[in-house]
Amino acid sequence: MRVYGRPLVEGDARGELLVTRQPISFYGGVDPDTGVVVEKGHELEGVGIGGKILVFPYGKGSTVGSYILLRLAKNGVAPAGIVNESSEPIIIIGCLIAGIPLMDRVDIGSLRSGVAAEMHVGESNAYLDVEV
Amino acid sequence: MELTRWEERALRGDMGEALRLAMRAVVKVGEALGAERLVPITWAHVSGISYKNIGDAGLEFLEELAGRGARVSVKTTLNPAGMDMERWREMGVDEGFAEKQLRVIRALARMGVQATLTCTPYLYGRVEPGEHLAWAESNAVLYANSVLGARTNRDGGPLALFEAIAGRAPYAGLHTDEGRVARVVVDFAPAAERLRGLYQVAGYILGRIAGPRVAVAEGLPRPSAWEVKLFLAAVGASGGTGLVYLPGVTPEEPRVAGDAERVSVEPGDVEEVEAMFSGEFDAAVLGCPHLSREELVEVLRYLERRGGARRRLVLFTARAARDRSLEEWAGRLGVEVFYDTCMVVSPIVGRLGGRVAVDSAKAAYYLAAQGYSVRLMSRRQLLDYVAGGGD
Repeated sequence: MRVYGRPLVEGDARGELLVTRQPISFYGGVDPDTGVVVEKGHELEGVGIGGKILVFPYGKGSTVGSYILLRLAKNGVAPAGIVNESSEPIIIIGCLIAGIPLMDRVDIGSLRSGVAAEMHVGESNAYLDVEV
Repeated sequence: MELTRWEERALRGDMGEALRLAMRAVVKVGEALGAERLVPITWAHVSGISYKNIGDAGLEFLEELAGRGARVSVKTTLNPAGMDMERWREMGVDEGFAEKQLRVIRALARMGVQATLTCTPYLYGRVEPGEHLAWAESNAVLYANSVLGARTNRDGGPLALFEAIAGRAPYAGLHTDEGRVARVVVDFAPAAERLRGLYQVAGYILGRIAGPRVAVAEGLPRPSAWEVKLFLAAVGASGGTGLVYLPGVTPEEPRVAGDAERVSVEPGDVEEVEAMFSGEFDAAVLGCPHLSREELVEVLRYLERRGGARRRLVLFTARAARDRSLEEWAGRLGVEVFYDTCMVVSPIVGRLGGRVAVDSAKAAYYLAAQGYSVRLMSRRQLLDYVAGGGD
């Protein structure tokens, strides 16, 4: 299955999908050293996002979150790619400085965790190929 | 998005790698926000510079950017750091942290950023109504839009830096007339009696109601200069909005959407916020946002009339407000003054024993989130406590 979206930060990624319906705050919500979600009560609490194609509706919380994405990348525990319904500046800037491919305007309701996927974000198009 | 020829060349990298990266960031964010073009800015204010938050990765990123020749193209100021740049030892900051924090600021200074290290840039420069800015730091953004009539979105720290380098911001949101239309009107009249002297509580309530929506505040008596600061800082802590129309304060006539929601604030809402921040305390901290010079003088004058401080009081202000005679006066009254930082981003509250009184709902919110015991009160109550009366 191929899902199209809007290209935001160019790059290619391959990995297992990790999907949540809840927004993510990278600042305070994700441990920058381990890539594990630490936000209390989040449905991904305790789960590592490193190497995954991370799918969530949109970002929330402090704008320091951009730097947390960069710290995750330097520590080798960043997501391989990010797919949003609607990306806001914290995520866009974070992905840009951390070199994480990013696309949005994707109906994430059809995506499931644990499935292998490949993501391509070019200058004018972006899509996600998901194993069915 | 429609770009000028200069912007296109910058985006292609004709003028260097650093400008290309900055322009890319601004354009990408602009596209996501639906901006049709960029708008030149006159002043950028950069936040998120505490080493505690950005870590080695952030430090290396800034040093790399400076090393690649990045330079800001407009006046650019800085939010507070994680410590007083001179008296950090007294705040409980260790040497390793101090060295890294210094490197963060040096990297930014190499790019041409002025190390003002204050969250009140609006006190130290002129801004004309209608001027376009790129400010991070929510209280400053709210002040710029709501009090100065300038136009800025609530940008994040790294975005504001990219905008400073590019000299441009996406023409979207609060930069545009449509983005400044109020979607909610908050009427404080039913709780006005209960809110006397508690603008910070009013602001906290408004932020919770407004969320990301531009708001009009009605039914509040006209606040003084420092009360406006406390009010807007509180709005920024509990809500995502960057503009509140305050009758008698905001130079712009409010534009209100036909279908704007109307919400009345009841006395119970005030009690609810007070109950959130009703912890025990044995010291007091003031200066969120940083105290102006006038506020410093007022605080010291009040304490002098009351015979000085009998309990511990720490004040935070900008280095630009520093004055030897004021410092000595504070010292004689038993009051400490720090610069460049505040109670939220430095380790001072832990140093004070972890239980403090504040007059800022923003400080209360962020200190409570760090696990400290916080009591929110009016400035008068707080000073009476420090002077040893009341309480």
